[in-house]
Amino acid sequence: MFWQVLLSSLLLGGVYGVVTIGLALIYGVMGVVNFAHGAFAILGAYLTFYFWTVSGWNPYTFMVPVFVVIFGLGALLQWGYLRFLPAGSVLAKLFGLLGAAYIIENTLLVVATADYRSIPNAWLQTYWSVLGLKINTGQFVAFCVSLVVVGLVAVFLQHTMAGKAIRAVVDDREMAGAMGINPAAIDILAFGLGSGLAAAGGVVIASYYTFTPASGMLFTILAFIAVVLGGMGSMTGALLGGFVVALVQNLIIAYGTIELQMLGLFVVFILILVVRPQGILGAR
Amino acid sequence: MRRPTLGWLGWGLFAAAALILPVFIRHNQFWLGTMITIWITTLNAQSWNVIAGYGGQWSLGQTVFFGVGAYTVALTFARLGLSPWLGLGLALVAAMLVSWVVGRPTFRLRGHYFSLATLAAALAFEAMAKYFESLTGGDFGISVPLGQNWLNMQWRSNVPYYYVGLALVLLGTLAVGRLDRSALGLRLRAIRDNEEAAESVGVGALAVKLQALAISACLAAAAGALFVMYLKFLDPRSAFGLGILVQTVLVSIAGGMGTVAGPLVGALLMVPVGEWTNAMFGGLRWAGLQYVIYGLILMLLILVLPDGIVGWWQKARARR
Repeated sequence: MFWQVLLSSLLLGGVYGVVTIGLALIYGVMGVVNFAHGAFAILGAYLTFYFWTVSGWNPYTFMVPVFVVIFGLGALLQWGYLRFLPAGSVLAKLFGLLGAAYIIENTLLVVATADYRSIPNAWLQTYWSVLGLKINTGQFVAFCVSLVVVGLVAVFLQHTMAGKAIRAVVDDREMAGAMGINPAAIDILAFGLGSGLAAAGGVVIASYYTFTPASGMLFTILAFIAVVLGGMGSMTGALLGGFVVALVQNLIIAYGTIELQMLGLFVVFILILVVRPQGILGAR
Repeated sequence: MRRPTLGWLGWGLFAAAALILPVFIRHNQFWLGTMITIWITTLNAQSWNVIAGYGGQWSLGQTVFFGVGAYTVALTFARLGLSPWLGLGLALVAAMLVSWVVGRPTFRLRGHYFSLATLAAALAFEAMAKYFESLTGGDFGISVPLGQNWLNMQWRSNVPYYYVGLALVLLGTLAVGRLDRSALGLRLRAIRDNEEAAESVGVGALAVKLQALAISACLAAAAGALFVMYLKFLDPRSAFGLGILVQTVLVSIAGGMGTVAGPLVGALLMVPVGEWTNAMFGGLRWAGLQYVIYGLILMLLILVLPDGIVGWWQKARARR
């Protein structure tokens, strides 16, 4: 039982990782917790759902268009709104983003109603077993797709000029500016990329989860807890945090009840903040 | 020295106008309902104002206290048969106890860590209300037993709810007015402006924040108690959901954070906007549109009027 839980947590954690590194990226560059992050993820899930309704194609085929649309939306939010907020006030941005999350959630409520949505996925019905553990094909595919997305982000950050510029701004904003990098442009890029990643996670979520407009806030909190667990601003940490959150969730579901998962996560969250506020990988 | 915004004359005029208003609107269900919603929202906004406006602790978990207040009244009435008036008193006590449980661990955190931890607390309470189904009715909610009797806080008309709400708003505003001028209020503002500096001159930040949260919790619990008796129905989402939170934040920011009159001014202006939207686009088909508009106004206000109406007015007068 325990090993089975561990395995499904690993698979689920990979999916969360796509969402959480987006949040960590935005936080690293701008020092802002994107309150609309989960809303972007669920918006991505709904876009996938509608593309699927129209075409009937495999949801993963919509990964690129959904990413591009939400990348644009995130970049627009930074370019057209967030950069005009008072620079010193992180909280103004936080509540501006809360407003944005609220607009997205309730627009979805009007357009798509509060009904639970899911995309039927034949892969979810098939299992194969390794070493006595059952692996769900649908979850395994989701995990592999997530790994590819995370890998692409890593390549982008390590080996492209734009990626290096983002990392430079994360390291030292002023210095990066002095070296000819335009931090304002990097903000727009990072916010777009982070939001796009949330939506990419949303595509994966749509392929094997049920969701409603209200799921957005849950994902914001899950991702935030993961990012805090990993150490704010650290991408590897965020990935690791995603696994821990998935593990805690699955343990509660396996040995307790799904309704109490929020309570369990809240307790873990507080415990981590008390015991190790800098996160697993964060430095003091 | 900050000058009060309205002064006793202003508050007296407001109270007098509010006392006579039902004479004109008692047969108009729309306006009567809107006014009662304004009182509930004012209490909620005042609650948020104490902890976020005065204390700088941007809690997103105020619905915990609203919900605990509402559930205390509903459960003691429906399950134990206690009068809601007694329930109201119990709701305040319960909310204060819960404020300690929530505040003790989360006040270790700063900034958005605190905001998100309190938001997680609200979701945890919502999950618990769903989980303990035999007690709370779970997702299906709980209905208040009907019976028109003043002891049951139920009447033939809605006018008495108006006056109960008005009384609670006046009491709450009076309490925040006292806080504004008290030593506790001063310490609270000191923590908001610079927690390290406040601690270094001997302000016990944790104790002050916990006291403020207890006051704040009472205000929200009163709002919750009035809410459930007026609507006579309660479910986890309406008690702990985000809907009330964003409305509360919006109203407080619109009115002006850290001012006595801000929440009332904000509620008087913002609630009718939402109610009009509801009336114009009535029905389940457009459920949510009201909140889209709230979200837009919130984003706009943070951009153009971050101090709120009362804050802007105070600054304008100070410049003169």
